[in-house]
Amino acid sequence: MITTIAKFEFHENIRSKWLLVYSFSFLVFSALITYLGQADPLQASASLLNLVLLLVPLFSLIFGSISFSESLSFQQMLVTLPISRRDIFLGKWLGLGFGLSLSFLLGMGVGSLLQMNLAEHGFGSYGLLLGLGTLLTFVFLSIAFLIATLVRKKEVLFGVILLIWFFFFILYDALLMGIVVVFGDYPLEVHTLIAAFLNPVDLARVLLFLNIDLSAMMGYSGALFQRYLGDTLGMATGIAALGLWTFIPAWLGLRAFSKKDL
Amino acid sequence: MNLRLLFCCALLLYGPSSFAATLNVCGNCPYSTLHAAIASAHQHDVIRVHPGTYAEGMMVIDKPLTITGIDFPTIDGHHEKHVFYIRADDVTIERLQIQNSGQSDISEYAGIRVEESKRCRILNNRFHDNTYGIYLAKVDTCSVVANTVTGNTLSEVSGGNGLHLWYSTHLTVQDNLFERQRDGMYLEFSGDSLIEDNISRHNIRYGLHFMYSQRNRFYRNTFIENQTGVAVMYSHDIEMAENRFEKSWGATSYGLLLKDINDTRVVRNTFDGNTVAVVLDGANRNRFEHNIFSHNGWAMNVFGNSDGNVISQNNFISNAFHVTTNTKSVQNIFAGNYWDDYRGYDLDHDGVGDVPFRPMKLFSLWIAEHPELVSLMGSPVIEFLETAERVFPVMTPKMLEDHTPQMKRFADL
Repeated sequence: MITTIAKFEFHENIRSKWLLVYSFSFLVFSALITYLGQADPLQASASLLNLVLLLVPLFSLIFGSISFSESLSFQQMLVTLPISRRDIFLGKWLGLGFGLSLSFLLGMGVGSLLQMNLAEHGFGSYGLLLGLGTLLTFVFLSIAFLIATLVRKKEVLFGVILLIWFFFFILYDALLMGIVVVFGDYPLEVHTLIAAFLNPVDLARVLLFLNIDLSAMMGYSGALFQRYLGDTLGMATGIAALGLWTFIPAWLGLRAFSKKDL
Repeated sequence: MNLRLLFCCALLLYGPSSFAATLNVCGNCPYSTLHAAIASAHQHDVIRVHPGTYAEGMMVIDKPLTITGIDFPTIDGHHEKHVFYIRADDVTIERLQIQNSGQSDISEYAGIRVEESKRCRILNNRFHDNTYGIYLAKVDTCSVVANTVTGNTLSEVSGGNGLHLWYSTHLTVQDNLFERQRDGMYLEFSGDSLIEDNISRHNIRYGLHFMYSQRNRFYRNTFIENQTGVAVMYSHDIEMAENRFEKSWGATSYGLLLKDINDTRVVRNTFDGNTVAVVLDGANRNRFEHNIFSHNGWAMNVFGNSDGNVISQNNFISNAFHVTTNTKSVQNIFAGNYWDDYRGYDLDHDGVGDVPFRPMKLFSLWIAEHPELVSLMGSPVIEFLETAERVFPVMTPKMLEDHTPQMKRFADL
């Protein structure tokens, strides 16, 4: 049953003009960045990364929560049929997730591959960027579903969603920076390493930076990051952590949805 | 008086060209081994080594000789001590392949070791798998030209250097390649020498390393992908021009480390892709002019113990951080450089920005104090901070200022 709903959601959303806009903005921006960044590949990949870290969470959060709350009446209808709430929730989650990922991969892929010399950039880090973007899509879709189940009022929902995005995108880093500057006399390497795990956006960024070998700039602290996240095992740990970031909000959301009075 | 004149004439008659014989060494020549030829040679004779492999090490040369290879015959030391051990003036060794010197924990064995002599010439040889490639100790006026020295050094402790100079002066080191040794070139107590057009790469420690070596000139050398870059220490009056310091990338790597280096000119060099391009540690009164700093993590790291350095007319392009320092007082002059992220204006169109540039941003100050902040590298919060610094200039640390930042990048040299 999950697959039927997922397929339905996927087909329903892939035709949505917003996904087209999403895909198109990736196409335009990534093409622009790769075109302008030809002189400086390292800076270009850093810009592409920031594009992904900005747009993917923002769009997944907004699109996910709005799509979820707008389909409430349809869900009420589905619930009357012999379909479990779990199937409804997960089906919608999967369908939306695949729709968003596909739009992201298409837009990003077409936009940057047109001009990028992969041999020069290294296929590995580019593939990693696409993979991390896809993972982040699911992470923030899960968070969006959780919030949308908990908050019914649309204007409140929208506010909370934007706040969450703002928190993960910039506020978290600003707080972290403030804490390190204020408590800098204490050794904080381990704390910053843990802090990176507690923000999926930071985690994705650190994983990619370690992969394009910016870790050399990190000195002693970098050695710590390199040791725990730099090798294949570290990469697996990081990706597993992003998996947890997907699973836990989705599970909490599903629990709330199962008990929810529709 | 007469006696002295006669002696002079005798010397002239006995001069190098007049009676120099040529001794051939090959399987069925009069001499089948180099040892035999060296033993029978007279002063200033020429020994011609024909193609082949000669399993001979520890050749002591104690008279002026020229040893010339034809098509690079292989002289294999079979891991016994030095392959050539030169203790006489005016020895020339050319066009040989010299391999497998000994390796020892107490002695420093080399492909060619020259000791206490003058005017040696080591030209056009190929060195393979020697502990030290060329080792000159207490030597004067030697030339080391167009050699390739390839080692197989695995550890800093057991390995040796490509070119090792100890208490040697007035040398010419030109057009050589040093690779996969411990240090590509190493100078200690060696001065007044010209080192130019060499390539030093893939060495497991430094591309170039010197201490207590004054008045040397380094021109157009390339140091690339050495594990820790180039480190020069405890010397003064050096000139480094048009060298390339590239791709020293790692947690403890730098392009050029100047420790206790004074009154040195570093001009028209290229520093590209290093973790830290230049480190100034206790370095005073040095001039950095017309250099290009590009794609480095940090272009310059100036320690507080460095004083009176002038950094002017350089290009700073696409560095993650241009300058960092751990001091709050201004002791070094940054003037008239081009900074690629300068956002000032130039109303009178004289090519000089009207607003001073502060290469040291708040974040680069913080990151110098708290290295763990590096986990925020690339975070939008840094961009945000820099925008804030532009809007509220009071936030930017004032210790470093370029009052005449250039609007246009200096043409590449």
